[in-house]
Amino acid sequence: MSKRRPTLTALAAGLALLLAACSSGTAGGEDSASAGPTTGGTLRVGFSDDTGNYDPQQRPQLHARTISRQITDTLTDQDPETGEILPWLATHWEISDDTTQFTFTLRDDVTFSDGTPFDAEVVKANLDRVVEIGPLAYVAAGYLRGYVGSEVLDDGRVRVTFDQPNAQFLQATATQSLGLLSLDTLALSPEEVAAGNVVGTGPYVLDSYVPDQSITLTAREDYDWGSPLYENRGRAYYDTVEVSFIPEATTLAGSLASGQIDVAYILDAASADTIEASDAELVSTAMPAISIPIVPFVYRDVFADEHTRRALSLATDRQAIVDTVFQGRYEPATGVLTTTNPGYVDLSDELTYDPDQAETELEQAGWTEVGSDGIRTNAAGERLAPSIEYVGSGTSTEALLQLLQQQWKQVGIDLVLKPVAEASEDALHQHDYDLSTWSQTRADPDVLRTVYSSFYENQSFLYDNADPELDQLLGTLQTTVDPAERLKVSEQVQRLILERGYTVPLYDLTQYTAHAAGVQGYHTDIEGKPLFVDAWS
Amino acid sequence: MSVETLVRRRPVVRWAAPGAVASVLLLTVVVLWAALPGLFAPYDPVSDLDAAHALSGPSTQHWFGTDLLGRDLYSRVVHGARLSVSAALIAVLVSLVIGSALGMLAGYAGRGVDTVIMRATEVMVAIPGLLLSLAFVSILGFGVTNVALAVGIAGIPSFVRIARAETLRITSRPYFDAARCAGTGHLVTLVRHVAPNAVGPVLVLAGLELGGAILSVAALSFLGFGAVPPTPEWGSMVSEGRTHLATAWWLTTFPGAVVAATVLATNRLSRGVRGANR
Repeated sequence: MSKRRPTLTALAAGLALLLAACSSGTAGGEDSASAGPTTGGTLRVGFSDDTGNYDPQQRPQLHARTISRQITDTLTDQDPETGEILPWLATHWEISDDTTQFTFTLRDDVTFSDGTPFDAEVVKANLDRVVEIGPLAYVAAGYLRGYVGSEVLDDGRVRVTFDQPNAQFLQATATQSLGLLSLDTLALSPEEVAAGNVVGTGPYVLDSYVPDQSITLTAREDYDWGSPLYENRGRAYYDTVEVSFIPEATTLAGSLASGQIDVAYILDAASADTIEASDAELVSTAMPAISIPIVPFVYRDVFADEHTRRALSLATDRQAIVDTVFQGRYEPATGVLTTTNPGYVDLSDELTYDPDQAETELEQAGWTEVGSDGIRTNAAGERLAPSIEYVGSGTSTEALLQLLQQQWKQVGIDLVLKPVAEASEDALHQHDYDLSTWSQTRADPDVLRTVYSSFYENQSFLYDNADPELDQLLGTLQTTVDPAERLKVSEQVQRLILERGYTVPLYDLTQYTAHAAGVQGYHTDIEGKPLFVDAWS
Repeated sequence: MSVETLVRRRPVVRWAAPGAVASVLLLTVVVLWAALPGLFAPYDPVSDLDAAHALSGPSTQHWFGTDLLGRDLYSRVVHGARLSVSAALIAVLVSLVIGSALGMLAGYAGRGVDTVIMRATEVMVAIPGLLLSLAFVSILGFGVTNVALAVGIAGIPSFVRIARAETLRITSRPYFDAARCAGTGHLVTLVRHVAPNAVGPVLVLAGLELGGAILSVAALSFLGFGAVPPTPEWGSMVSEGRTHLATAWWLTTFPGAVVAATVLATNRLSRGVRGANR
């Protein structure tokens, strides 16, 4: 460790010089720290990725959701501390005893940035649209599974009906996937909305989106209905938010450290050291999500046998992964869900590192011969060489896969890496590889259904191998209301998923973002998405 | 005449210059690394994971330090030499063979053939070499061989030009006319009289191109088109280290320095050869 210090000192000295050189830009923020929030100015934000689709209801990537967070509001919000659902655009709600009907009473003073009013009709149109575009909005549509329809009771009241109990729907109304859009936006084609033609009721308005370059947001002057979780319920302090895309992890961290941007959104864990050495502030969020897994595809011949799939988990030394690849900045997985997910159950006993047991499982699966290269073969002479396709050479994902390759080699599995330049948009099962990593954030155990069910079969890891027992349990999870009962179902689901080797949880993601010292009031929501409305300098 | 001889001899004297000597030594080491990596590398470049010393700086135990997974960086650089150097050699060979053949054909056949070949060459020259390689490797796909081919194809134009110029020079010589008058066939004339006399300048160019090829191969590997991990390759090693640039300088510095030194050494030597050749 001590060897690192000279470099850090040198870096810090370099940064100090840089900061001194451009101090005119940041001095204002330092001085006014005691004077309370000031309005005006531009917040310069660096994003590590351009997800290329800014329709809140479509793709679920965090970067897109972060933009959605600023430009749209939701019916409810969720407290990051307690997980409690709080009223927002819906002032209160009634849930029928069987959890099939939700009646929301809406605020009557809310308007969209195009001037149209927010009312029951709009809520109905939004939910109808999500179901209509279905697979395009597969996360949101999954939340609305069993949707019968919405009924406009009067301008300020809407009743949403499902054909079966839907325990997770209320939490779903707090997610950006159900961010509310204006009627004009809903009338556009999904492609047009994806390209940034989005009108919402949020504190910021999406002014322009230039793919791979920038997004410009401007504050709404008449905004007055902020979430109870916002410090500032009125007009945002910054006049504009300028998002630029800086995909290179080191450059993103360096841009913040050198004062070229004010906020860096989603830093590589390896950049955390750089930020800590500068005077910028690192913000970490233990994500309420699924533990990042490596998922064996059951529809591939090599993983048809559950013994083979289970062996992967037993051959994986999770502690070594977080210690080396992520330098202790992430935690090893102890369940299918992360510790901060309300459905978390400690299943660390099921996730032990046991190479001997892994070999036993492999032998049961018929991989009995060990070749001269140490790799197992079966009776047909096929090598046990599953492959994984991934994007991003030189990234920590690649380092992780290289370590897994070494760990699995100990038990006779040859993990073949297939780097590609760009991820394909085709359905998973059309690809010629056997494993994938995955990530999905949601502060509800129902995220298990989003990821591991065979609901939308083309998006499912269980393509052509739907597991009725699992789907039924996931259905129960969706319809169970009582929290204790729900946790029990969550545990059953997770145990079943591990038992059948549908996934190999690896680590719990901690998300790192950072902001310049001059930015005040920066905080994030339950999913680690920054709330720019509260930031000021 | 005597003054000119003196001036022209000077480069030969330069062979003894310290720069040239250092270059020869350095290239010898690199070639030995490439030929017998096991002899020079103290650790296995892929499977020796020293987790306890992961991401630690240069020490007596690990001369170049270790990477994120605890692999010995020096061993990886040594083993990386094989792929990097052989890819560069393949690239130059591709340029040399295809380029010289086309160039001699253009110069010898003249007229229509010359026009077609030279205009096509000019089109290629108009596009920056690295960009051209990138385009080709995107079509060919990932892997060291494809990177070598892509770099080789992008290097063809310079060989076409020099081979054509040499051919034109030779075909205007009396011995060429003599051979033709004696009834020597086209192919034999090309092989016996043109090729051997054109080979000098072409080889010098090959030497010069080798340095560039090493750099281009490393650049494409850096961009992720080269060797599939965990196989070490100089360019991809620099790329792997870039996320740790601020905290672990050795990850990028050592492989980068080896690439730079090798390229400079090849350039220095081919300059010497050019001098000696004239």
